[in-house]
Amino acid sequence: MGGCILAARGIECPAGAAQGVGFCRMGKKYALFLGCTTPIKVPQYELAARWIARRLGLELVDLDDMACCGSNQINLDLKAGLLMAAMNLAVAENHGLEMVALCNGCTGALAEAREQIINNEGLKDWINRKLSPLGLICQGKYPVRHLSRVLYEDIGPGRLKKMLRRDLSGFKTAPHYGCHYLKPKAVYGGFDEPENPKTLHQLIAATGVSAIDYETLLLCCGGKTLPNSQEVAFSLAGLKLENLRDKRVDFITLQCNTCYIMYGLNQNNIAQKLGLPPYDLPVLLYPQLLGLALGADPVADLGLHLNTPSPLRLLERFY
Amino acid sequence: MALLAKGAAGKGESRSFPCLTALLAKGAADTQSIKNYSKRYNYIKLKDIIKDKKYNQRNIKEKIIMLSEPSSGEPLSDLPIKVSGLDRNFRFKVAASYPLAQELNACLTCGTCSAGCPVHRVFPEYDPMKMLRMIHLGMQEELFHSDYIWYCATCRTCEQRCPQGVKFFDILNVVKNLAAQAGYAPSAWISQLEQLRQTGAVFPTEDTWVARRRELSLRPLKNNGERMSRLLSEAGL
Ligand code: SF4
Ligand code: SF4
Repeated sequence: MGGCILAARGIECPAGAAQGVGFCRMGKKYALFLGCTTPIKVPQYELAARWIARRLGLELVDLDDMACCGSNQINLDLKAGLLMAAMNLAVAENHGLEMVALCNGCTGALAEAREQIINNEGLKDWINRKLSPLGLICQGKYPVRHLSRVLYEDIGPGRLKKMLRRDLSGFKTAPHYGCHYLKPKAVYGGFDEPENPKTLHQLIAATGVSAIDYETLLLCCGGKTLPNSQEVAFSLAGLKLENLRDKRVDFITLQCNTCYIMYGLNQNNIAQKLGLPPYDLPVLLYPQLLGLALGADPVADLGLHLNTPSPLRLLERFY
Repeated sequence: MALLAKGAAGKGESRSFPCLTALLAKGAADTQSIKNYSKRYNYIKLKDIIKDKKYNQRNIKEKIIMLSEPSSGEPLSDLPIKVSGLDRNFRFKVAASYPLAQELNACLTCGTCSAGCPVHRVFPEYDPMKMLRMIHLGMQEELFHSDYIWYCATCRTCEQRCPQGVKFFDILNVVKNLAAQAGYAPSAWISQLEQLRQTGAVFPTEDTWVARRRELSLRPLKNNGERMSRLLSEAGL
C-alpha cells in the first residue's frame, strides 16, 4: 500500500515499472485468504498461485488465524455469516494488509461484508461487540480482491505478455468467470462488466492462448446448490459442458475452486447422472495456465497431475 | 439458539433423476412421450445447444435436460390460494430483518428475475418471482416447508437484472434464516456448522489431504475450531 518510495525521492525505477516495462517488486504485499475448499480439495490451485506470486514479486502473507469466510452460513443466519467474514477482515486489518482471495465465493463474502460494515454503523457496532472477546476490531479499512483481479489491476495483461517463457499459441480455451467474481457489481466498484465480462479473456490472451466466447459464458456452475440438491447442481453444470462439447476447445480456464469442483472433479459424475457421453475436457485454474506460460514446471510447480480430467496430454508438444 | 436440521431433506447424494433417467432409459424418448411430458412439466429444449452424436444415432433429434419434482419435500402448490388466514405481515417482517431486503415491496412482477435465474432454467418449478409473490401474500408456512428455498445457486443474476433494485438473493436469505429458526434448516448446512466448530473449516480433516499438502510442500493448516466455536456462539448459533 502507499505510493512508490523511490518516486517520492525522485529516483528512477530500476525495474522499469514506472516506464511500464517491468513491474514494481516493492510494497506489493497481501494477506492471502485461502478459504476452506482450496487448501483441502484443490491444493494445486494454491500451489500454482504461490508459484506465480513468487515469480511476479507479489508477497502473499499467510495469517493462520483466518478461518471460513461465512458464505454458506448466511443461509442459516445472515448476521452470523457477516460476523465470520468480519473476523477474517479484522485479522488482515490487524496486520495492515489488504486481502487477496483465491475463491470467488470467499472474495464475494468478504468484500460484501466490508461494504456493509462501511455503510451500516449499527451493523458495524454489533460486529465489533461480538469480535471484542477475540481481541479484534473490524473497520473495513482495506479492500478484498480476487487474485485474478490483482493480476489484472496491479500487474496487467500487458506486462504479463512481456514475461512469457513458453509458447502456448494454438491452444483454444473456454473461459469461465464464475458468478461471485463479477456480482454484485456495486461491491466490486464497477470492476469488469457482469453481463459482458472481459478481464479473464484478456488475462488468458496475455498467455498466448485464445479465449472463445460462447452462449453459456455467464452460466452459474451450480456449486453452491450441490449440498442441497445434486440434481439442480449437476443439471446446471451439465448445460455448460454440453454447450462446450462441440466448440473444439482444448480446456476450460476458470478461477474458482467451487467452479473447478463442478466442471473438473465432478465432470464424469455429471455425464453419468445426465446419461450423456463423457466429456474428457481438462479444466485449468488460471494461475496454472499463467504458470505454464511463465515457464513453471507443470507438475512440481503447478500440480497439473492433480487435475481431473488430466490435462497432461496437452503438454505433449513441449516434450 | 441452536438450529435443528429438517428431516431427511438436503441429502443431495441420495437423490436420483427419476424422470430424466426414465426418459433417457427408453433410449427413444420419442416425440410423443416428450410431448406428453411437456403437458405436465415445463421443459427446456436444448436442440440449439446440444448436438450430441450418440443420441443422434439413436434418432433423437432433440434432447432435454430437465428435472422432475424433487424426490422429497413438498412442491409449491398450484391450487388457488386462500388469502384469508395468511399472515399478511410476513412481508414486513422479512423487509425489516435485513437492510438489503427492504426493497421487497418495490417489485413490479415483471419476471426478469425468474427469466435470468439459472436454477429456474433447469428446474422451472423454482421461480424467484413466484416466491416473492408468496412472501407478499404471507405464505410463510408454504415457503418454510418447501425444499425449493434452499436451491438458490447464489449467482445473484436476479438482483443484477431487476429493474426495481429488488434484491431477491438477500430476501430469500432472510426467508431461509426465518425457516431455519423455525426448525427447517437442511441437514447439509447444519453439519457444516458442526464441522466449523471442530476445525474452523467446512470440511473434516482427512489424512489423505494432509499428506498431499505435505507432498506438495504446502504449509500445514491451523485448526481454528475453538476460535470459530466462540465466534458462532457470540453470534447466537
Ligand atoms: S425482476 Fe425485480 S421487479 Fe421484476 S419480478 Fe423480479 S423482483 Fe420483481
Ligand atoms: S441468486 Fe438464486 S434466485 Fe437469484 S438468479 Fe441466482 S440462483 Fe436464481
